[in-house]
Amino acid sequence: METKLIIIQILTGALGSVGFSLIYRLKTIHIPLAALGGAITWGVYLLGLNFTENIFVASLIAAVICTLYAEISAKVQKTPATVLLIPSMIPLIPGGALYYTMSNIVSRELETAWYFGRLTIQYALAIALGMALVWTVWTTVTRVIQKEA
Amino acid sequence: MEKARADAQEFLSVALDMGEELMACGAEVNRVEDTIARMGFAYGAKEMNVFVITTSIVVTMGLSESNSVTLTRRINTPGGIDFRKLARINTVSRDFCHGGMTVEQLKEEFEKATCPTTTPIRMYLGSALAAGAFAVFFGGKVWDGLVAALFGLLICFLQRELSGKLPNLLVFNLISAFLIGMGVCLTAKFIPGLNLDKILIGDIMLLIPGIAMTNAIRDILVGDTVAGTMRLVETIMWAGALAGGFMVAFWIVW
Repeated sequence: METKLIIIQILTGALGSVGFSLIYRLKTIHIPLAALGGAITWGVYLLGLNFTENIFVASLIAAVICTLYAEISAKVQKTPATVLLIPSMIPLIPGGALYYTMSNIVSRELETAWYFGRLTIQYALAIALGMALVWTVWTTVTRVIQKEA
Repeated sequence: MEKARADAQEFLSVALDMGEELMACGAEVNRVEDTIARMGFAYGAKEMNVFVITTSIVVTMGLSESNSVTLTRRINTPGGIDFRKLARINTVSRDFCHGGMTVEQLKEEFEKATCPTTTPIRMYLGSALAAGAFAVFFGGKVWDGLVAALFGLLICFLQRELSGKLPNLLVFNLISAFLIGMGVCLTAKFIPGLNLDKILIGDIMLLIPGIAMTNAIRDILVGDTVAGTMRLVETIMWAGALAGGFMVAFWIVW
């Protein structure tokens, strides 16, 4: 992929996160954190895609890193993790794939529609799995630490 | 004993108000369950049984062997996601759990936490920014981004003014997808050189229940199967309504 395209995507991904931070009414001081989260998430996704050439694995890794980032920065900021997690995760949401699924159904290209439909589901599953994975490990570790303390 | 029961009922009612508000702001199911349970124990309950799904809360608070209070709450209004309010209510519940707060004070703090948190300008700005940025993100040119941003403003207007007046989100998604689809298709027809698909993708990002769908799958994966399944079905229906609205617009214009 071209460097220029990568930079444009990471930048607009971060801007998209800022947009959703405003819609979801984040505190102003949390907005730069969400922007950074969006940039990191998409950056990790592109890196992962470069190495694995597998959309599912790449979005899974990106979701894991994004959730870790959100959990840690939320701890530092003393705010619930969702507040930073959701806006940071936004660039991974498969709006494009969902759109092409619909438009191909309309133009009766069912083969192509099926391809994009599967892509949409893969993205959604990978994101959810990544979040659940971190959440499980995070809870276990916190419980172990609390028991020992 | 009767006095203790009445007091407990009053407390639990406030705790349910807080749970309901958290749910409306976009909290996860297990955060709501956790918050109510912790507050109950902080109040002095021996046992807390909390069951939350996206549309209702059921709580039984055990005060002693033979004395318990049960309240249920039906949640109707999904409301707009409001993370600032969520964080505030979360802080209030934490403060209560640390102790030293009476139920009266809890009520006051909670009321303070629910006052409006933002100006409409920020919402409009956010919608325009998000739609524009994602149109370019998915491969559009600067002009595509600007048109998407313009329609982003319209989506924000519809969400603020129309969604409360329609019976449910399903109808709202159908109608707003149709209006946006018509608008964007007509614009792209009369102004050559615009990428119709990129503009629509930017605007779809504001409408698709991507977050709700992801949350639903995650709820299922972490064990809140009932709540997760309910929300998943809901989001698939919303996405279907969106697709339906856009399709009708496509068919009319093309």
